[in-house]
Amino acid sequence: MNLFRSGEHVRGWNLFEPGSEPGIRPLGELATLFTLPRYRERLAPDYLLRVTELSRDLPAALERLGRSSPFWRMTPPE
Amino acid sequence: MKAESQLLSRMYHAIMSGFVRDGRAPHYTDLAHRLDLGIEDARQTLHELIKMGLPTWLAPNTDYVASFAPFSSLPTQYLVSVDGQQRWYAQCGFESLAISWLFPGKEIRIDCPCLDCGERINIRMHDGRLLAVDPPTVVGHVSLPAWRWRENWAHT
Repeated sequence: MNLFRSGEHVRGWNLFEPGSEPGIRPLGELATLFTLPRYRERLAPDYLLRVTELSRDLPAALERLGRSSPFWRMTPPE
Repeated sequence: MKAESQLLSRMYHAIMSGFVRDGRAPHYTDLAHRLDLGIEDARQTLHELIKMGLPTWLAPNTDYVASFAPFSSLPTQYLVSVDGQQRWYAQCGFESLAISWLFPGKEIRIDCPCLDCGERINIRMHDGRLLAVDPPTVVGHVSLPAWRWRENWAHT
């Protein structure tokens, strides 16, 4: 999970795998993903006890981020 | 010893707080002291915590916390500064975007090279909000589909 100066730089990276094209997302959209409670609440003393509940929004947020691409689903394709 | 969930939770909090305070993970002997545990109990609890499946891992064949999302004890290319002081490393580019929540009310800065060209990327954030991105075209990239992330967090 790395940052690049642009999508063209990702595609020019010597370790880029063409199948991972859907894995390129604008920084602003990624920053929105990291506003979820799972990421916001990590300093809460009881975070670990609540992490499942705090992560409830994650699958839907990933689907939105990936425009419903299977690449961003947390369950494997059938 | 099988650690109870309350103890695992206290250890998680102690490690995260240690990263915020010191820029690195506490050693298990320090965790034993902070959590009023025997040293071996602390070591075993640490291993149980790491096995829970969160994006955390130890250096191979050691008891040293290598990475504990969103932070890394090992230097990565993601340098994080708080109030102008660079003491922290982000686990990865994505997790660097989560670090500002751990420093509420403060401005954080992420500096890293682009892996393609080596030119600098600079990001400033405040309480989860992007303040500035240079260049504005910055993107994130992950090589693996989301359903494979948990197979090997370090590789992801």
